[in-house]
Amino acid sequence: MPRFFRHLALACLVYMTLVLEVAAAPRIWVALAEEGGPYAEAATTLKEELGTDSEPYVVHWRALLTARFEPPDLIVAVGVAALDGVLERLGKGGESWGHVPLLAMLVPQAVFDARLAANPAGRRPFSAALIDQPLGRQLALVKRALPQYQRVGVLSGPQTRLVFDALEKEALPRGLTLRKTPLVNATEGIYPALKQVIDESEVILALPDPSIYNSASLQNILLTTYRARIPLVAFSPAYVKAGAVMAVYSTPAQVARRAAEMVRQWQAGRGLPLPQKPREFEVAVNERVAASLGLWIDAPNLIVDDLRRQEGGR
Amino acid sequence: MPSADRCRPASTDFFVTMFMSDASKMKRSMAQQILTGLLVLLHAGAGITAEPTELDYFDALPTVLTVSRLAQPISETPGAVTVIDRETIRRSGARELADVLRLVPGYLAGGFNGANPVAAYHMPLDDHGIRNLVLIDGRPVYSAYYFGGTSRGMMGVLLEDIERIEVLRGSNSAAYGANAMFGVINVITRNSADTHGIGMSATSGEGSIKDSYARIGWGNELASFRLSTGRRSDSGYGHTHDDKIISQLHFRGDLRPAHDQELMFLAGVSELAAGDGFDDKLGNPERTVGWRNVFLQGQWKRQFSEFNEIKLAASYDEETYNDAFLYPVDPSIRISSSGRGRRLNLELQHNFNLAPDLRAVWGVGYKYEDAVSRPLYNTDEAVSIHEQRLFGNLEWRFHPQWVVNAGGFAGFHSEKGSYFSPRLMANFHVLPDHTLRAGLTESSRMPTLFELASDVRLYPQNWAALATAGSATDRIAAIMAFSNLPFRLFYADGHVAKEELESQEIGYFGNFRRLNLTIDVRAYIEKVRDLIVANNHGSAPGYVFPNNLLVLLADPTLVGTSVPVVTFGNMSGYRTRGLEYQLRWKPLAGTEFWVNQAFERTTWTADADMPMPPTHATTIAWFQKLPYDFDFGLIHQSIGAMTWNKASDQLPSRRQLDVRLAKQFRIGSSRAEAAIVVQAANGSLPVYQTGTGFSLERRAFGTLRIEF
Repeated sequence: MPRFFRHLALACLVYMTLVLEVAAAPRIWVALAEEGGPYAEAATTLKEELGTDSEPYVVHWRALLTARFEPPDLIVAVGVAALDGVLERLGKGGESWGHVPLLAMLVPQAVFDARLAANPAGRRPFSAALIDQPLGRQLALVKRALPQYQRVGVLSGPQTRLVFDALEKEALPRGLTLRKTPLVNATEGIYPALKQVIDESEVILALPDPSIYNSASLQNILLTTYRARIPLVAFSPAYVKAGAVMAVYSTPAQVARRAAEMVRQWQAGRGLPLPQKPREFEVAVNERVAASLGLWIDAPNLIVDDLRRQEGGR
Repeated sequence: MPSADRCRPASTDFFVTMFMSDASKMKRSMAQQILTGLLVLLHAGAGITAEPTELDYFDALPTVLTVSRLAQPISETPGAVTVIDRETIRRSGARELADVLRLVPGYLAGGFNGANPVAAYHMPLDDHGIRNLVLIDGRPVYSAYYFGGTSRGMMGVLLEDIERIEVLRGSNSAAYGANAMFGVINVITRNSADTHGIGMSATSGEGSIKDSYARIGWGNELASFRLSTGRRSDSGYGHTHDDKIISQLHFRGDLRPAHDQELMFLAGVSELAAGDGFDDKLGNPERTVGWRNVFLQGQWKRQFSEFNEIKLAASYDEETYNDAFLYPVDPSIRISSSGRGRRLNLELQHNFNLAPDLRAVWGVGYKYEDAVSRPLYNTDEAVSIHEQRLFGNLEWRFHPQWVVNAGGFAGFHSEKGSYFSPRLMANFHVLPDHTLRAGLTESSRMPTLFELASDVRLYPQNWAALATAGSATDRIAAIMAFSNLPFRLFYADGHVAKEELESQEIGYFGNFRRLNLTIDVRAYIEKVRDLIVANNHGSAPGYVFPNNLLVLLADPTLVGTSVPVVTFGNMSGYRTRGLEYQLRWKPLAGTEFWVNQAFERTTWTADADMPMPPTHATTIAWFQKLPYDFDFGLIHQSIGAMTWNKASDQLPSRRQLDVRLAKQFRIGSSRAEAAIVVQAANGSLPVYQTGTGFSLERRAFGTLRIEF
């Protein structure tokens, strides 16, 4: 039954989009990858942050495909699917759509970089309020919460290896050494790399790379690292619930607040700033797993306060 | 946002169905998952890799490390626990499981000879280790056949296969049933997913030590397997005939048929040839005893939710025992304890949450044990017992600082009726790192098959030879032969009752994180009653007392001498008070100290020739990582004067120093380690009973290990 209502809601949304096509177009469109969930949370926060003056107009990205709007002043695409949909729409939109600034929100840096490379922006300002945490913050978390460990292992996937050099640069001043594995091989699977990283590391830092961390591999990784008594530091609260010992992450609302700052900057006529990673963040700790591994980790709010102080008191 | 109840254009249904997903639950629809899967495959095939999306951050994931998969923190366990991990086992230099248990406070390692190593908690009551429950991956390994001993079962695991040993100190009958009267030694072997590849080791040294081990592991994320084999041999103690060779082959498979299910399958065979006997004892001459164990074991777990798990376990053990010799005085007498024993063990366990702060476990079990041995039971039929079991425990966290465990185990024994072992234990976290523990438990041990049904008879034939032999026993046997009667060695009339133990304990667990130090203290009062003991009885019930025959033989020296039949009965018992602690300290990254001490006072309620444990025992272990991948280990144990099995033969206080030096290195991509161990480096020390003259000699051996 809830699914029925959601379908109904989207139908209504599309209907209204079509009906309203001749009305004055809102200046900011927010295109969602999906209804509800993190997208709705992000869109709601963005609307709240921007206030009544801006009145951003929130639509499912597919509505844009059929709408015959005049181009808006700014499109905020929430999620990768929305970003890709909007890019497609903009590509077909002709001259008038060619200049519309685009702000991607809740997308990973890797996706933003790839889209930027594939769609030379030309005259269109293109930026992003990214979902990824700064690498330094993730290492700072390891250092702050598990100060007894120095050797941080990272499983190498096609995505993670792109950031190794940057990660190494961040690790060094913190007194951490990075142990990376050879690229996880599709034929051998994750096991040999996992075994190596367990042998060589005291803690494993998981970075989002679907070829390594996915719902199929998750069980294997968590069980194997747990048996070896190696804590896994992940990137989302879902991983912490699943069994990672902790994670630093930003909520959709926190990413949206960063996006709102960028939009306000654009509204002030200073153009879209360069892609930004979230300023606000949370730390989640799985106390049960930590206790079972014999680890004592401070309360998440204490860790967050300390990390914020380290980042300059912001 | 349009409101759903006001407009629902039918024409958009298709559109909606096509593109909507259950976003509010943050789950991708099956179609999307298939599509994503296909895309990933296509990308992989094209050499393009999947890129992350926000779903990697937001998608809900199942809880993998559920409560039942997590080891319970020691501060929350209902009782004292010592955990010894794989690395410590290796660094201890131990070759036998019983030797590793020297690292557990309150444990005494011994054995009636070097081929039968046992470990006893607090009280060395018997030679076979029958009052501890030893579980290997959940499978009980005490002997169903003979005395219910664990010495042989404990040898039936390869130390290299062990992940960790969890010793639950103190009675655990409330959770594990009647065999766990003095605690549980829980051996957990390595998951086969962690042992892919090849591993080998070889050991050689003094005391005829020659050990070898090899394993091969293979599989993938969903199914892993390991085949391991090993052979261990040594010459045992000094001054006795106790050489042993044990050869083993084990298989373990770990499968994940579904994300919420785990299947474990184990099988193994162990074969032991152990020296026994004495060159000067006609009734117990030097010989080699054979023992063979075959087992099959399976365990299936299903996780319904984070707090709801069901576990089904089954194991089958079969052992054959081969020990027979001809009595030199009368070779027509064949003294034998050969035969076969079997055990089937089934258990179903369910863990779930009754409320967020109230966790429950309950289960049912069944065990069947039988033995076939004409020499021991005087029948060709199987002698058997079976027991239905019901157990449960509630873990209540009514306050963040409190964990209260209340539980019990009920058994329905086919011969001895029912028993119930309850436990109440409270853990109070005074501060997050400082926990006080107090509890009461009652437990029982049911008699073994041998204590219930043994009937060992010899049939002397050559009375003339016996009559002229030296000992009274022989001459009595001669009388038996003359009158055509069997000569009875053991007779259990089945009237023996269960042993009972009542234990009160208080404990403290402290974790001093700044110092990297943990300490676990346990103070206890244990009262044992109705202890089952073997008695030399004047006459076997139901048999003619041979006084009239003695007269016939006209040997006045034998008048009043009885036929020494061993029977089993209950005696009053004892009371013991004690305190033990284990301290673990890592002052530096590569330095680790373990200190265990145990102090004990025992009072027997009956004045008899009963064993006395040492009043104090101290073990200090120092594990030190050195530069250039060298590793040093030292274990020093001092044990006060004590007796094994009987009070009249006191073993003086002893000290044993074991030292190990190892170097780790690489051969290509393989990891290797070479180690030298010297056991009893401080010189030979007496073991078991002084009267036997047995000694543990200083012996050095080297080990080379390699893993591909």
